[in-house]
Amino acid sequence: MFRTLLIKEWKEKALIALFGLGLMAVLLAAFLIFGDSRDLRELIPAGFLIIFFPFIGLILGAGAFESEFRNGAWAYLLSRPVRKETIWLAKLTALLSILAGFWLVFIGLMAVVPGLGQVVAGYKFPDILEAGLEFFPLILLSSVLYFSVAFSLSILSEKQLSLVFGSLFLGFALQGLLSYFAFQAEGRDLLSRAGLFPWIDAFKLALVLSSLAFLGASLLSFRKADFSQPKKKAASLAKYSLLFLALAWLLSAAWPAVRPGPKEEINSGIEVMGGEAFFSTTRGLYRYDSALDKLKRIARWISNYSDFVIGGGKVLYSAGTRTGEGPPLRVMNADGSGKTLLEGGEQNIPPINLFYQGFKFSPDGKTAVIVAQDLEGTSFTTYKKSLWSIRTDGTGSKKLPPLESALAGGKKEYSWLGINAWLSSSDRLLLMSRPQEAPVGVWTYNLATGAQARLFEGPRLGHCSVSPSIDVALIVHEPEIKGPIELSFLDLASGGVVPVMTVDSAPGSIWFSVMEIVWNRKGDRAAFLVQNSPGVFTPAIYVLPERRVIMPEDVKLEGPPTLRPSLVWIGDEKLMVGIPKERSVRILGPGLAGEKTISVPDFIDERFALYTAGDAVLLQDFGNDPSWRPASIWRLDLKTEKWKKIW
Amino acid sequence: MSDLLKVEKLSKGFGGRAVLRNIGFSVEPGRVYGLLGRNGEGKTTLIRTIMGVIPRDAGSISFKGQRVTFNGSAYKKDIGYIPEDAFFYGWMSVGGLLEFNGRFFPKWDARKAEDDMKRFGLEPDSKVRTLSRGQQLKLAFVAALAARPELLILDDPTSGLDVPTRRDFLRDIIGELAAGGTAVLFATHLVHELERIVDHLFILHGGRIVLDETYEKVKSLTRRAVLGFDTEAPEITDPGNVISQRRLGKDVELIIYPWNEEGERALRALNAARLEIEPLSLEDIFTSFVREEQR
Repeated sequence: MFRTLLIKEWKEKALIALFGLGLMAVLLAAFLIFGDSRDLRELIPAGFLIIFFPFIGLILGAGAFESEFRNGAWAYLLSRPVRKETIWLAKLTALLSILAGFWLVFIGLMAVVPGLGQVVAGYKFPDILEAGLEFFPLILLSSVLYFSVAFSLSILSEKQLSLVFGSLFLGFALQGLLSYFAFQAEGRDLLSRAGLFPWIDAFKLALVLSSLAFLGASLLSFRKADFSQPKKKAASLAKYSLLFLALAWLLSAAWPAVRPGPKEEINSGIEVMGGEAFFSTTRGLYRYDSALDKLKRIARWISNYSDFVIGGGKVLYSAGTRTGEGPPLRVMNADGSGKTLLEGGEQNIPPINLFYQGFKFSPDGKTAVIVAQDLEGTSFTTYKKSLWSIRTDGTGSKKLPPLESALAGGKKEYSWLGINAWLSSSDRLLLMSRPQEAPVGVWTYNLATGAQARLFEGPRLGHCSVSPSIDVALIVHEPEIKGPIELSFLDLASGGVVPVMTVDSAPGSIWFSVMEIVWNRKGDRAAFLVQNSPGVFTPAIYVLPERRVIMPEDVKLEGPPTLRPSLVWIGDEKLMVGIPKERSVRILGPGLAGEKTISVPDFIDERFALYTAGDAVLLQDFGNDPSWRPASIWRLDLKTEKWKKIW
Repeated sequence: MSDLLKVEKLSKGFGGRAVLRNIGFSVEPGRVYGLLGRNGEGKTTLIRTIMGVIPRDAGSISFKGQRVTFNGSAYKKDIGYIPEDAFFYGWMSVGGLLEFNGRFFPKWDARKAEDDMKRFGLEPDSKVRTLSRGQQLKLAFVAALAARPELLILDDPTSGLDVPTRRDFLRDIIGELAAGGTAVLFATHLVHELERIVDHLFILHGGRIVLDETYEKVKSLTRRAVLGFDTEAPEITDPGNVISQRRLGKDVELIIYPWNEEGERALRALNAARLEIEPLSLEDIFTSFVREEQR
C-alpha cells in the first residue's frame, strides 16, 4: 500500500519535477553561455541555489495535501483500509525524494559541468557574519526546513499561495532567529566543531531538528486531528509545532555540551602538590588524593588543548574552547571548588596563553603573577613581555612595573621568559630569561617596587631547579661557549655561584647531560642523572649541607638515549629510579646502592616516568603513542610491591 | 445473528455543539438499514465517525466483534463507503482509479470491477474530472462493490442521480448485495427511495436515534388518526403513545406509535364527531418522528 500511495504521489507531482528540471536546464545553459563573465559565472549558481531550492521545497511541501483538498478526497483517502501513518509517510517520502532528486541532479552538475563545482565551493557568507555559517549546508538544510514547514501547514489549507508565503515567512523567521543566536557571543557554541561528529554543529542540528519538529507536528496532527474542524486542526498543529520546536532548540542548544567528545586521553604530565597529583585529559582535570587513594575530576571540558599549573593550594587552568578561540583562564581551589574566571570576563588583562607563558602562584595562593604578551612582535616568541598580577578571586588585575629590556624581549629574535619561583621571604620572583642571542640570565624581580637584579648570567643555561626552601637552586650551564657543561649551586639571596661538578658530556647537549634534578622534601638533597655517553645514565645526589656529590661509578643505567630513567625520592634518603629498558623500578639507598628491584606490570610499555605524591609512587605509562601521549597512570604500593591502575 | 457493526453511546460535537448524543445501534449481515434524518441532523458525521474519517468524542464502535479505534484501518477492508459527494482524484482515469483503489482491498474483484464498469457505461480511459456527478457516483459504486464488502455504507448518494437510474440502483444493486449477505446502511433524507428495499429503520433526530425498529413493524404499528370535533378541538393527552399532534381548527391529527387496541379504545372514548384511522407511508412516518412541534 505504501508503494501504491508513493506512486500516486509521484504521479501527482510529476509536473513540478519536470518544471524543476527545466529550471535546472536553464541554469546550466545560462552558466555555460555566460561563463566568460566572471560576475555572472559567480552570480548565476548562487542565485539559483538561494532562490530555487528553498522555493522548490516550499512548493513541494505546500502541495502535499493539495489534491485531497481540491478533489474533496479526504473522506476517500481516510476511509481506505490504510493507516494514516502510511498515507503521511508516503507523501513525505515521495516529496522528499523529489527534493533530494533535485539536489542530486545539482550535485551531479557540479561534478560534471566544468567550473560549476569550484564556483559553488567558493561561496562563503560575508565576513560580517563571523559566526562561520557554511553556505552549501545552510542552503541545503534551509530547503529542507522550508519544505517541512510548508508540508506541515499543508494539512490546513488548499490555498497554495498562502501556504508558500506563510511557510516562507515562518521558515525565514526561524532561520533568522537561529542565526541571531549563532552570532551572539554566548551562542557561538552553536557553531562549535569540537568533539565527535565535528561537522554537526548546533546550528545545523537546529535546522534539522526544527524540520523534524514540523514534520512530527504534522504527523501527530494528521493522525489525531478532526478534518471537519479546521480551527481544531490548526490549533493541534500549532500546539505540536511549538512543543517540538522548543524541544528541538533545547536539544540543539545542549548539543555542544552533551555530544560525544573525543575519546578521553591524558594530555598532560603529572603535577604534584603535597600528597595530591593532578593531570589533565581531553575531558577535564583530575586530582588524585594519594592519602585516600581517590581520583576525582575537578574540572570538566572537552578539549585536546588544555593546560594547568598548580601552587599555593590553587590550580590555574585553561582549555581550548570548541570554537578554537583564545582559551579563557580560570582558577580554582585544589579540591575543585571556587572556580573563577580570570580572563575572558570583565577582567582587563591581556591575552594569556598558558601553553607558552610563565605563571606562578604566591605561596599563600592569593595572588598569581603572569607573564603576558603585548602582541607587538611577529609571533608569540617575539612579543614583548610584561608581568601582571591578579588576585585569585578574580579581582585586582594590574600590570606590574615594566621589565628590563633583557627580560622583556620584543625584538626580532626569539626570547623566552619564565618564572622559576616566588621567593616568599622577600616577595620577589625568580625569573629566567632565555633570549636567542643575548646571554641567558636568572633575575630577581621585586613585586612591590619592580626592582630587578641579575643573579646569574652565562652564554647557555639549561635546567634551573629551585630547592623546596626556595633559597638555593641547582643550575646546569656552560660557563664558556662550547666549553664543558657545569652543574652549579646558585645562592638565590646573594647570587653566588659555586660549581658542583663538571660534566664531560658526549651528547654535547646542555639539556641531556645533567637532567632530572629532583629535590627531596627537606631540601637538603637533590638527585639528578648524568649522561656521559649516549644511553649511559649515572644517578647522582648532591648533598647540600656537605656540598658534595654522591655518584658511584659502578651504578650505570643503560638504555636508548630517548628512554632516559626517571628519579623520585622515597622519603628524604632513598631514591627510586625507573629504568625503562629493564621495565622495572629500583630502590637505591642513601649511598645509591641498589636495595630492591620491582618489575612494572607486563602491559606497561618501556616508556614511563615516575612521580611521588605524598608517600605514593606514581607511574605514568606512555604506551606506544608516537607523540608520547600518556596512556595510563599507576600507583605502586611499596609494602606489597603491587601496582594499581588509577587511570 | 451476531452484530456486524455495533455502535454504543457514541457522541460527537463541533465547537461545543453536540451533534450526536449517546447514539447506539447495531447492524446485522444481509439486511438493509435505512438511516433517516433531516439535513444537518448528523447522518454524515455518524458515518464519517464509523469510517474513521473524523474522531468521535465518546462511545465505542465495533466491527465484526472487534473494537474500532480512530486510527484503526484494517476493518475498513470489509466496508464499502459511498459518500454524497464525488471524492475521487480528478487527475486519475477511471481504470487507474479502480486499479489504485483495488490495491487497498484484499478481496478486490478486478473482473467484477470491469463488468460493472461496462454495466454502468464507464470508459476506463476517461479522466475522473470529466465524469458527470451521476457517472462519478456509478464509479463509486463500482469501486465499492468490487471490494466485496461485508458492509456497504451509503451516505445519501443517490440525490445526484435521475429517478430511473436511482430506482435501478436501489432495486438491483442493493437487493443483490443484501441477497449475497452484505449489510447495507443507507443514509438518506429521500425517504421514499427506501420504501421498497429497507428492512430496518433508524431515525436520527436531535442528535439521538429516535426510532430503531424493523420497517415492517414500524409500518404496521404506526397510525394516523384524524379526530373531527364540533367545537374547538381539545388537547388530547390519552392515549399516551402519541408521537405527533397537530390541531387544525376543529380537527386534530395524531400520529400514534405503537398502535394498539388500547390506544384505539382511548381514541374512541374521546367521542369525536369524526374519527379516521389509517396507516402511514414511510415518508409520513419519518416526517412524524422528526417534526419539531411534536406532542
